[in-house]
Amino acid sequence: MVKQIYYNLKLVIREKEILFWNGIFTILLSTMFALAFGNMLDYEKMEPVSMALIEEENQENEIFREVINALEQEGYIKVTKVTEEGEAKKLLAEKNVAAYMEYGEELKITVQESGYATTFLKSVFDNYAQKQATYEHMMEQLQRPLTQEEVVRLMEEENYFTKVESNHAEPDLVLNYFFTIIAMGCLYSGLNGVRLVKNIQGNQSDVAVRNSLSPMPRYKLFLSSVVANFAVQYGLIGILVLYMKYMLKVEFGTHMAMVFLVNGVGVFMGLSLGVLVGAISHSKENVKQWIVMGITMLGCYLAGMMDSSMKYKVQENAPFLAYINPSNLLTDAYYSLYYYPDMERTMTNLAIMCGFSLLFCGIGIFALRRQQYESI
Amino acid sequence: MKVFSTYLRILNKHKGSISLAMIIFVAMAVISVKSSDISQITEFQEEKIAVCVINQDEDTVLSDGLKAYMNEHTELLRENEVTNIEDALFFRQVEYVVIIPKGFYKDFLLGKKPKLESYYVENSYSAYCVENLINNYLSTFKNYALSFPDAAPETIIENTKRDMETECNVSIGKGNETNEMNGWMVTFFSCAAYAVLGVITMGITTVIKSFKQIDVKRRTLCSPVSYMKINKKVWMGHGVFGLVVFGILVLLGTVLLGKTVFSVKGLYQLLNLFAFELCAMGIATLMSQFVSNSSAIAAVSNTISICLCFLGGCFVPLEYMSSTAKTVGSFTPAYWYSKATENLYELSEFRLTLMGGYFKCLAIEVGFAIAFFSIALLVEKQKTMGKWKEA
Repeated sequence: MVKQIYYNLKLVIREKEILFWNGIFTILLSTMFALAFGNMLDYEKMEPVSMALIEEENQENEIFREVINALEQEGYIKVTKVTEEGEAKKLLAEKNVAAYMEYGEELKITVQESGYATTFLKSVFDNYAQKQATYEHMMEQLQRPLTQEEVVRLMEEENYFTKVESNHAEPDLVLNYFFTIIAMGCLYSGLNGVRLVKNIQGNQSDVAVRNSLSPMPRYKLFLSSVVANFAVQYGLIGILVLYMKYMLKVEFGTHMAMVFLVNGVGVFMGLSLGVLVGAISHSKENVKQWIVMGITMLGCYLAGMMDSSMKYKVQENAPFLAYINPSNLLTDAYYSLYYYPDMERTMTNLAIMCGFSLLFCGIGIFALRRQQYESI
Repeated sequence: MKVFSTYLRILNKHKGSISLAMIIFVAMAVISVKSSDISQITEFQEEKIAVCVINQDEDTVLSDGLKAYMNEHTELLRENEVTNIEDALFFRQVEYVVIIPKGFYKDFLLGKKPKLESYYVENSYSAYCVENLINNYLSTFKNYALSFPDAAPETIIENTKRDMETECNVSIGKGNETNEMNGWMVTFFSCAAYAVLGVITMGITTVIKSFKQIDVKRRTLCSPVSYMKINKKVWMGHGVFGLVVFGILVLLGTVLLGKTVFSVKGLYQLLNLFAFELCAMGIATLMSQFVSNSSAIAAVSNTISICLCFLGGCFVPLEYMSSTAKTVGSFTPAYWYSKATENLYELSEFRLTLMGGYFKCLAIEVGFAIAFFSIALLVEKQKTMGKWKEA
């Protein structure tokens, strides 16, 4: 049996095509994701918004100037003062500022584009304009100037919020892209599964014909092949995870041992899927591999590989689909290990994955058992 | 024409693997182009931040007024509309969560300083905007309530509402107006780079590999047709294949984007795509000098197309990429293709003086194509000379 495992290991390692798709390709893809999504969430991070302020000569508004200075000091805006509109327009056209502002009877802001930064800018100056409106309306209704106390109260920025400290990790949706790549890598072991079934079915390959003639029982041939394929694939996924963690600085949370357990269950589920497809389909090897790749890629798409929000949308609108999608179960296991403080969700995912693995493997073995060939 | 018809037969035999990138591209293009409505964006649009409110308090005049105000400025979601708030926050389906604790409004109206609880993504514009909206509304209400202690809550709400309606006048600078169709065009042409790279590298390399099989090559060389003539036919095949791929993309663009493809901007985009296709053909010719195994062709073709598209900013806009990625990307033709696409997106007039950036990108792409073809020819010459010398 040990010798058989050794031979199978040699066989698997010589399959350059499978090694490429399961190993090198996933590493390359994760590197590309890291390069491409490096600044993906920058649009939402608060930074001082650069703006030009048109200050014409003889324009006096002490309160507004104080507000601008205060906003600048608090790091909300970065102001470039100009004296003519043409100058401001040039700065906007050259993308040196995100907006320019004229102040007179009303505040007029001209922006480069709609977005978070410019919405924030509008919000800041809406606040000022609204306080000014309140000041005027109150004077009008009270029919007297406001007292010092009333002005101070009006200008006061009261904060009605207190942040609840979450026990969840930092919500970084970019991580989901990396989790789907690991899920893809695990399920690509289905390609090995297809190949290993081919190597024990006498009507499928020359290696299988030779194997069928040997005195070794078929279950031993099958088991040794599963062990060898699992070992190689688990090693490749391990390398991928370590590469992501230490080279690409992808966060996995604090339970690294659990991450490797999920890797193991994921690889076994992938292999079982391959065994199932290999055993029940009578098509050519290529077609069987396409089926495995198709299930994996469609599953990865639904788990958020191309658009992170897809995973959430499926979970909200079709939870059943989320639970029967192997790619999503794996992605969700990594996600919950990173994001959730407890293991409940990870354990549920692991239990379903184990169930699927046994089911796939069971059906595959059932289809393979007692196959005999008088002649091929 | 024997060589040319053989070229077409080889393509036909491998049409499944060759068209894979095109199928993926069609799916991507259809999903991204058809998932939104056509609209002309000439006015500033406030970003609607998704806020989930968990109300543990009773409804009052104040809470109704605040909700109405929030509804105007944010995408307000109630607790029962979100199954798992933590997940929604992670995937940015909710950006801010406000919890109104029991007794909040009563305490507030009594002049105490109750607090709303919240959780959100740290240090984000959305968090500031939402807090600003709510703080300002409540402060204004409080100011009116203290200055007019005998006024009914409904009157105070009316006053607060009127003040909150005061807004700055925000407009988009001239020349920066965008239209959704223009955005779709960028998406379409950015993704088209993947189709071009995938299909051209796979197709040309497969054909060259078939012609280079030792037995086929020996048989071809002993025919009465000169080596030069055979090569000419193969190059003609490359040209026809390239034009067919280009034609398919134009057709697809017409289906998805309509007449916009034939607008001035569209035609410049097509010119850019054509220049990029020349690069893809150069890459394919170079690739065929080194890769001969059919499994390896699929692997190398996929790797090259995915890597170049990611590094070049075809899949993810250049603005989202880190500076390191952009520096690495600038050594690839895909980067200059994306840059030209983005340059065109920003242009509203097509005067030569404004199009310097676009033509620079185009020239670099053509430069890349010439470089790839030259290296491929040089490698082929070295290999052939080496074999002859050995013989």
